[in-house]
Amino acid sequence: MAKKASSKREITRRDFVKMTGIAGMAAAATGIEGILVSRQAPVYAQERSLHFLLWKNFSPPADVEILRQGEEWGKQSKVKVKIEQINANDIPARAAAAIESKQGPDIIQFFHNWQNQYGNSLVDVTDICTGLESKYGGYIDYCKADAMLGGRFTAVPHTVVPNIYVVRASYMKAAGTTNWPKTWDELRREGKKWKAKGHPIGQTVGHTFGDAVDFTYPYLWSFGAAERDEKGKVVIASKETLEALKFFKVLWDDAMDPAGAGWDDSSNNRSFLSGAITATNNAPSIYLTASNQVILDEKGAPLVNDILHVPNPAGPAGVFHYHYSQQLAIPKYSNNVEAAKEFIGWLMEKDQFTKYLRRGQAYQAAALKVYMQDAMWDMFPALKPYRDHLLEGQHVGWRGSADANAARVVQNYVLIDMLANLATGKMTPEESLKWGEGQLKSIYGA
Amino acid sequence: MSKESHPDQLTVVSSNGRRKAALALLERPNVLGYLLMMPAAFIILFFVAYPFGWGVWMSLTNKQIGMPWSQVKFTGLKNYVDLVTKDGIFWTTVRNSFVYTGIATVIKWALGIWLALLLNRMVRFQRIVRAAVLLPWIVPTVLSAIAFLWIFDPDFSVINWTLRHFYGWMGWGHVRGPLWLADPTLALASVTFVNIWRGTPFYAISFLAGLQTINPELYEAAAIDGASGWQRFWHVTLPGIRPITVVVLVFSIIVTFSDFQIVYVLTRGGPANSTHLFATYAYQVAMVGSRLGLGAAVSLFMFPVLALVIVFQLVYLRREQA
Amino acid sequence: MVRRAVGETFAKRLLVYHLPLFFFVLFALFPFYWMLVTSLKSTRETYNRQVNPYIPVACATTVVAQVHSLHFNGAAIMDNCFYHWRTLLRDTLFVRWLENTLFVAIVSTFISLFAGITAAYALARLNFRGADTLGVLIFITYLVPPTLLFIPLSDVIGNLPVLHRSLLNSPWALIVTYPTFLIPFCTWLLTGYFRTIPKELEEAAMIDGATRIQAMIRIVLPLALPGVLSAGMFAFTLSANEFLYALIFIYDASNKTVPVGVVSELIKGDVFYWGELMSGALLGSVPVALIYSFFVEHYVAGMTGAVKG
Repeated sequence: MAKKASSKREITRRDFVKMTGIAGMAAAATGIEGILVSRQAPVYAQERSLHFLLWKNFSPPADVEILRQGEEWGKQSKVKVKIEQINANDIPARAAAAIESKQGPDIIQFFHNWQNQYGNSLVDVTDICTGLESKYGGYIDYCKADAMLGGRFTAVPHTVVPNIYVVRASYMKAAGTTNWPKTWDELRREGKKWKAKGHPIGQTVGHTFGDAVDFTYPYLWSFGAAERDEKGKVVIASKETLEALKFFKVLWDDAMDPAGAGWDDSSNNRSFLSGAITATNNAPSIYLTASNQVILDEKGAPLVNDILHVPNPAGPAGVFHYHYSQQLAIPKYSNNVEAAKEFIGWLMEKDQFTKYLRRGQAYQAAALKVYMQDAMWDMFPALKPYRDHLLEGQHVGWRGSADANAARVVQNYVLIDMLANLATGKMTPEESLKWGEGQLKSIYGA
Repeated sequence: MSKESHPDQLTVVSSNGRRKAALALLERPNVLGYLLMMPAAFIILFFVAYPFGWGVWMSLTNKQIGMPWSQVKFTGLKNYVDLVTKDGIFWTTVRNSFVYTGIATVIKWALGIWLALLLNRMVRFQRIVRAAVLLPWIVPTVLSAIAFLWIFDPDFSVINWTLRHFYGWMGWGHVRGPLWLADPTLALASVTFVNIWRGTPFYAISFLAGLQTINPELYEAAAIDGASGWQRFWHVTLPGIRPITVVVLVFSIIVTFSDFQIVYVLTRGGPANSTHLFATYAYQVAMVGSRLGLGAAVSLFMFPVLALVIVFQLVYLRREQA
Repeated sequence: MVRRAVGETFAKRLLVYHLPLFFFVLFALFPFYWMLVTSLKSTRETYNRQVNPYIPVACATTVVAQVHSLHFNGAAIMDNCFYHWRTLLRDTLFVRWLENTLFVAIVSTFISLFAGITAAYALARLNFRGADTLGVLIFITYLVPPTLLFIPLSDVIGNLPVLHRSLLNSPWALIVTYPTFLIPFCTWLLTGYFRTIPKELEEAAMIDGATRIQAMIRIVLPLALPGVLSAGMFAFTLSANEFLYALIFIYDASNKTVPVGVVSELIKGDVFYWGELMSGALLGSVPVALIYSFFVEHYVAGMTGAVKG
């Protein structure tokens, strides 16, 4: 069946090339120098280009692979593929300027649910997504939720960067902790011992796109707090939130590294790899760096052997994780919507996508559930816990929907700052809650 | 130009005449003046005035990125009022911007004069030393800010390493060193420091230029009158560099007040918004958070403050000329 | 111009003069030293909190050993000292970014100088109606921060009115926008400078039959050269420094300028490549610094002229 589908796809591709050729000629013929240009129609068709903007991947081999794939598809589809990779923190500004001036990349990679801020300006890609779903089975729920707005897909769920706790086993043991804490309170108690030994828990609550969100959201959720309820009403001002905030202040002071308030996404990696902290919530990058660069610990042994991957501790409402999804959107201004759709579809085909994930060393997981069974996880057995907790995430703005305003809450670091206000001692839990409620209400317009 | 002339000749003569007339026109200040202003005016009209008008209009609407113009509603001053009355970050931003600009300007001014006086005496290695102290100002800000990001890193800070070892050496016990970018006050101080580091050379070089316009005879006269070094500084040097001081201050205040790059690289406004400046907050709201109208309003709040600075300068210049 | 008080003892000179100057130079140069040191260390050494961070140990050891044994081994020095430099120059588009930066900065500087010279001359010399207002208007351009302008600007750049062409992703997008913040300063500086040049010189030339424009080009401009140079250096610095427009308007890696290229291409995911970043920061500063070391005296002279007026 898969074979049939792919052969069908090939025909479409050939049709597409033919069509673009014709379109090119037609477009040229209407011009003043129509005759002249139409003679060069084949060249014109070849010059069709597709511009794809995505992040500079942490896992450099994944970048090599996506560039290679772009070239391969470009060759067979006679489209000049231009892949632009930039620092993830700069993507929102580039996307905003592109959408507003209606010029720019034909495909943009978004994180969390950033793209829903511009939902109206993005091509409905429901057809690709449902096609992929019926071919490969379903998406992980939160990946799907992040990619949808008002019942349609604004972007094609692509990958997800999972986040759980990364732990130095020997530090934990040296402080007398035998098992990874099951609850936040236990973490506070044990973490206090680690901190006393000079190796606290490292956690950023700074203005940064990844790690700060990855901790803050599941932490609050695990206390039963949420920014909105199912109906979209702002319900942050709850007993649960206050409890979470009060506890966070204690957790921070007792067990966490105060430097975290000023950290960005890279800081905890460095801190961990240099042996400053016992545990931190992070993607697989710490492990991969330790293993690829053969980083040694104090005793001269490879650091990778001392790294554990464990789930988030539970709060009163249970265990929660947040793994940020990444999706590919096509802006409506694009002149190459069909080619863009075609390219995304091709990238998501098993042959390409498996290679992409594997070359990336399991740094990113797939939005499609089926890849949880992929042999990739056996290639990186130490990273298996990331897979095992992959389904425990929620989407941005959870309990409410992952709409434009939920994205704005992420982008304005509202929930993160609620914690940062406490970590830096700027506010009491009550003040911070009130502050956060005000910010949320102004964003949600309620 | 007689009627008998050949038609061809007539054209030649008349075109010649026209040329002459045009040239004569060029001698008139009212014509040449506007003509010479054209290139500057053209660029400014196209690339500043029009986008600026657009920005002002946006700040009066609910415009968001990607929102079709059909949905854009005129909301009057709502964005401004919301910022002042409801926003939990705006007033922090205002405070930060004033503290940042105020402290940085005063220190840059003081250090600038001091450095200029030192450089003014320079004889040996003059060129190398001048180029060296000018370096911070000429290097692209993002690049130097990245170096500072590393210098301020809590675990790898070279300052903290030095402190740690100094403490150990003195037998004062263990110290971790300040967490430069994690503490709200220190973070603001750190970004201000980088601004001072970067801006001082501009002040110094400008003041150096100013010092060289002071007539040496004034110093000699002051010395004859028995004025001390400080008195000479107050009564000769400072008044002597006043014209350039005004210009440098105005330029620097504007640039510092609307600064973006240093904070963008070092903290992005964190921790807990304690380093947000107008430009970075506007960027966060408008670009990252896609609320263009609101972001434009944040940005435009800078305008009256900066306009005040310009008015001050104009009044000063007029007074000087009178 | 150099004054030295008579009877100053060496101790006093040291205290009020040499020491402060030494600290100023240290203050100015330390971050550059830091860039250099970090760029010469291996990643592992950078992340080693035990060794002395002031010296690139592996590199220094290699060099010392080679000097000691009088045996030069270029490959070892390459691997132990200039590894990140090599990566930067060979595996990234850094050299392209440098070229782009120079191109954009030079062209936009020339445009700004042209517009600045004509406008400044008009403001300084021609007493035309509305001159004051226009002068103020140009100056006010300063007040409009790039953070406010860049969204509408990307609209203008993306679809140039009248021409209906897109400048996005072309160096010209920067070349036409940079003058917006360069012209005001150039105009101000040159207006001041032109005022210091005696009117009589031009008037004499005009009595001899030169037109006003001829007098301006042949008499005033050569005399104003230090001021022009000064304004040019200033403009060059600001354009090489610009970040936001370059980030938004240019998307091809090979069309980027140094600041944007280094930040957006060398910062990857949640890991910073400090070695490459620091080599980039250092090598990106070198060309501008070189230009300055040649012209710094002219810069001071130009500013001096401008503020005399």
